[in-house]
Amino acid sequence: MLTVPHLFVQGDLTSAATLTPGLATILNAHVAPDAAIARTKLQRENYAPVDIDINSMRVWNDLGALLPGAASGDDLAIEDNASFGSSTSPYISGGDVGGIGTDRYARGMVALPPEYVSGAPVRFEIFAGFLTTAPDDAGFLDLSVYKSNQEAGIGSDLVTTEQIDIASTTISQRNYAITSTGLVAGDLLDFRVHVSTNDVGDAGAMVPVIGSIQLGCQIQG
Amino acid sequence: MASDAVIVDDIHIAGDVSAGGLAVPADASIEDKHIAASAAIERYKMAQDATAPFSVPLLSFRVWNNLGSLLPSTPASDDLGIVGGAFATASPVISSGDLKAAGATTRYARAIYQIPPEYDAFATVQIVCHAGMNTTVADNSATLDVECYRSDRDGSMSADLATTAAQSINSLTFADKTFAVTSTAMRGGAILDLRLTVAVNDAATGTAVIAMVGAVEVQCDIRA
Repeated sequence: MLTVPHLFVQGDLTSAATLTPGLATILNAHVAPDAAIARTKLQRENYAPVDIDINSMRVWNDLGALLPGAASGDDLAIEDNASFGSSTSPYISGGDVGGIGTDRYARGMVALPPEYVSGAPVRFEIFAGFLTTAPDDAGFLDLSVYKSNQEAGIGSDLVTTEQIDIASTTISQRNYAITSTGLVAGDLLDFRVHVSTNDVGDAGAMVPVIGSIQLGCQIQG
Repeated sequence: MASDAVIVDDIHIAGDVSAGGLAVPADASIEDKHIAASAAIERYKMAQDATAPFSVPLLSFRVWNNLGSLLPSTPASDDLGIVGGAFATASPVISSGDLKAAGATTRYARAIYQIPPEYDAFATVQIVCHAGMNTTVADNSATLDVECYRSDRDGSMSADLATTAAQSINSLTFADKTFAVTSTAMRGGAILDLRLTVAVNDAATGTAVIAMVGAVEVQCDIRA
């Protein structure tokens, strides 16, 4: 192989084999305006967050109704604490479940974004735990997700993760994997969160909290 | 101009290589590591993805002449409804309700949608609704129409940008109904005021005649 210190070619420089640019040398100016770089050539990002507005969540068996301001019956609530700017952000609340057993729900919908890579991993990421006190018996969060066929029908529950114990005052991210085989951008997912609790001692206020829900999916671009 | 020089062997340049003309890398030879961290490649140099689907959430639709109200669970008067069905057995739809033997009935729903930032200005925009009839078709007609106005952000708006006329949805086989939108002057961030109109005319059917919209998408050309 011929090795030379520098090379200047007055005309075009091409190669029948590989003409390799130096590392990290290509700038925007080097890319042709009509380059049309395909999305498939961009790096994939795992579990890119797609926000689900918790204010859009509905009563699970009455989609014409927003979540109530106070949890009751089998409904979770949207809690705003009625004092914007007072160090508390809105959250989905199970109400004070001290000394009782409850099963409470909320329902929402989310679509897979256009940049979603067909069939690639998808999960729901839910920040959840308890405010003030954890129940002395049980506190679980479960998730069910169905793909809409856009004609009032559905498939089977896509969630593969069992209910997760959230009986802790440390609120943290809980991940629920879903079967992504056959999923494509634009698919509508119909989901329901289920908070089940049981407490006997009633040692003060204990409120199950969902601080955020987001979809994490693999994207390109 | 000097004649072409052909080097038939491999050549390694220890320093820089520059060219007065083109320096053309071989096809498919550029990898991520060759691109400068500060490259800032502009969006318009990306390939255009045609009619990328952006969902208009069914739960975002409101009563058309009272945006402070969610769609009702039971359609009535001139309002379409949001019907969830039983969770785990049915998916949510926007529904006309049962209009058997109800004569000519028109019901609406309205939503606000913002064109995404990656939209390729002035390129294709269309609204696609997946719609059809549940249980029984109407003995006369069932149609779906879409109106689309661009907000001027000052309380005023454009003319109706939807150029496709109302389409029949009078079939038990649901289908995508595409409504073209004039995209002249459309840009990322544009705010669209959408209204669905379902018109059903049934006089004699004895079983349920329900028009449904199972999904609404704004499809537009984007660049990653």
